[in-house]
Amino acid sequence: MLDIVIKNGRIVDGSGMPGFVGDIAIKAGRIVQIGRVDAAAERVIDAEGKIVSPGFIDPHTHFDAQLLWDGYAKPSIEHGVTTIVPGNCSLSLAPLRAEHRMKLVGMFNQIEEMPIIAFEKGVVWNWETFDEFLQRIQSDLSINVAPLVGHSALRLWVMGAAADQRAATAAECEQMQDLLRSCLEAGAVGMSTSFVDFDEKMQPVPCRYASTEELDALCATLGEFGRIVQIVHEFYDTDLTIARIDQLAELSLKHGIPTTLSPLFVNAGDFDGVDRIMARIDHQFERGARVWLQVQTRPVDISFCLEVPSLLFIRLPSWYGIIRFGSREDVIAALSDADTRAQLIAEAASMASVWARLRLRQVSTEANQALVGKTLEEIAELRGSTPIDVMIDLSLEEDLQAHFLAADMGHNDVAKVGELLAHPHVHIGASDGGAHILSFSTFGDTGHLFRQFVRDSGALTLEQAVKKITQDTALIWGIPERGLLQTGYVADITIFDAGTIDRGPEYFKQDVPGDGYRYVRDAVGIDTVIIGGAVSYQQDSGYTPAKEGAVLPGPVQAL
Amino acid sequence: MAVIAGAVINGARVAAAHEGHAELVVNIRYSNGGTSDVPLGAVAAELLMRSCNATTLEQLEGQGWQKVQAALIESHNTHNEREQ
Amino acid sequence: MSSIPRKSLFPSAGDSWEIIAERELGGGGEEAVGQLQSWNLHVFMRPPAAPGSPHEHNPILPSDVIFLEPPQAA
Repeated sequence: MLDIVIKNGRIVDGSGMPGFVGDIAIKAGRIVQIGRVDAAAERVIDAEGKIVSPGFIDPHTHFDAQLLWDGYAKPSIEHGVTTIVPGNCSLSLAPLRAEHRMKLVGMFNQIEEMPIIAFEKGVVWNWETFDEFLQRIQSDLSINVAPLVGHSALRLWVMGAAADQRAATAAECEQMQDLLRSCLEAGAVGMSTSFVDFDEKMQPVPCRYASTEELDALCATLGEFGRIVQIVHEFYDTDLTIARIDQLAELSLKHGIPTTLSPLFVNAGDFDGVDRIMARIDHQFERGARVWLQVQTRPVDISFCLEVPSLLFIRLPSWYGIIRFGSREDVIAALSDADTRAQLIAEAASMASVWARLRLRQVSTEANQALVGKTLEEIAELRGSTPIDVMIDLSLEEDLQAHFLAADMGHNDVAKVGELLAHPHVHIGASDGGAHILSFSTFGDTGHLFRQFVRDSGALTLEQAVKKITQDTALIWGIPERGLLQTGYVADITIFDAGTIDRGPEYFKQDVPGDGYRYVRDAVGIDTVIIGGAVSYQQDSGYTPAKEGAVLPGPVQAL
Repeated sequence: MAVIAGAVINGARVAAAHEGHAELVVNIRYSNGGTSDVPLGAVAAELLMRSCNATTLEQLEGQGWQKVQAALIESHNTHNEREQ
Repeated sequence: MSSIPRKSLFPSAGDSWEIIAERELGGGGEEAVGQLQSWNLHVFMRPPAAPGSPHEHNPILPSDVIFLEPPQAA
């Protein structure tokens, strides 16, 4: 008796080959047959009219803390993601000595906006080593986790207070290598480092004090296992990005390791910069290096409220002057005064299209809750007003705490981003899942990929898009037995509707320990998600109690 | 500080920063014709505007690169609870 | 499409603006240091190190990329 048979789906197997209609049989957590399956099964899933693909892999996340209270890494699974990579950007919660816990908490708070109270309410600190951390999370995993070791965490463990003061000595480098080796043996997928991040005191994170010799030594240790190094680079500058690409290429060639850097954004007016970066990536691949550039699918939004000055208004001198230099009372007085208001509205006319598209994100009063999620144009229609009047009125009604979202303000050239996503040397990632929780939602990038770049613009075929976020990712990261629908592979499977898959609208949700909130998005068009052979999520009934998630690639087996 | 001829502000634009807020991207042009972008947060942008006596972004054009450097340095010393 | 990377280095232990300018630009001095800094404004995109830190008077970090020439013209 089989455990599960998925019947009559269109199988897009992750290889990039054309999809085909067929069945998939699952037994003891693995795919045992693909084709026509007539044998009996305990559960039959009708996938007619749906796509059956490998589970999606999200290679750039910061779910480290969330995994301590949520083994699903919600809402990743409902977006079709079956494997996440936490520990990016030099930050991991292990190895971590007890005396450094609050330092790490401060860094997660500063860099990823994870509230300190969430750690206080949601974390039982019962680990120090990487192995102990993996044991701690493994008991409750629904999703697969391929964890990176943070370079800053390695430095803190070995160098203590000197970690954010100076380069390591040769002896300290050796200790870090030994420590990294123990993490890799325990099951880490690789190591992360950063060239841009700041700690809780707004000082560079510890790994930024590392010399090139230190990074080289750690990459030599990664080379013993063939494991990956991830960096976050100075993504705002083309020449700095190219310098980091070259640095990674040398490390890749010298130590035989894959490398990845993230993110790359397409900046308006600087397509030449993007093309130069890609030319350099292509050059390094031609040399035999592996330097995978991560590009995110979603555009960048700008959010603001009138209580806090935003540079969005810098082209409007009257607005900017009032918001920037006035007190809260001054701003309210200016917006309430009929003459000043008329002058502000006249000045803002030059940006009328921006105001119309603004979305109301968050309010405090009950009276306006029903308007959250609507555009100012929609609200203006309801109120018989204009978008700019609505922005002013809502701000006054909410004591300047009406939050607005200007969507698609950056990384928003669909043609250029699509060209990048389809590039064979571009790695789709950089979602930042689980981070920036008070600023924007980091969920639903996979749905956005299929809606925007497969269905709407056609930049990628369905098969190409699936391959990019399944087999390609598994191969780049050395994640075994995943990323393909193939007999013998672990049954991590996502069933979705190609005609509707998307990300839902962003909203503020209270589900963080300590009664905290975060921005999330629900999924659209994801039917069923299977992880380790068990149904973990179904659109109709939600999450199941299945706990078949694994740590990948897992402990190193002695040869 | 010595004035380096030719390294001047070429232009500035508002852009969406990775973290979800608006930033001012200042483009510097060097004497050889090469250019590079420097992103400024709200405080640094305001300091730059003020030091250049600029009320519009266009008025930044032609100002020396040292103004950008000074705005960056000064912004770190400026505590401003209202910055986003 | 230019694929020649801009000339740069990773700092050696103890490298400062003055030392790099002296060594790499064929002479130090205020003008050379200013030129070097104009090519490396990213180093100023960070708060000064805390008093007493080894980097209190030298913002250059061991992991920095330091450019030795301006960006290439298009």
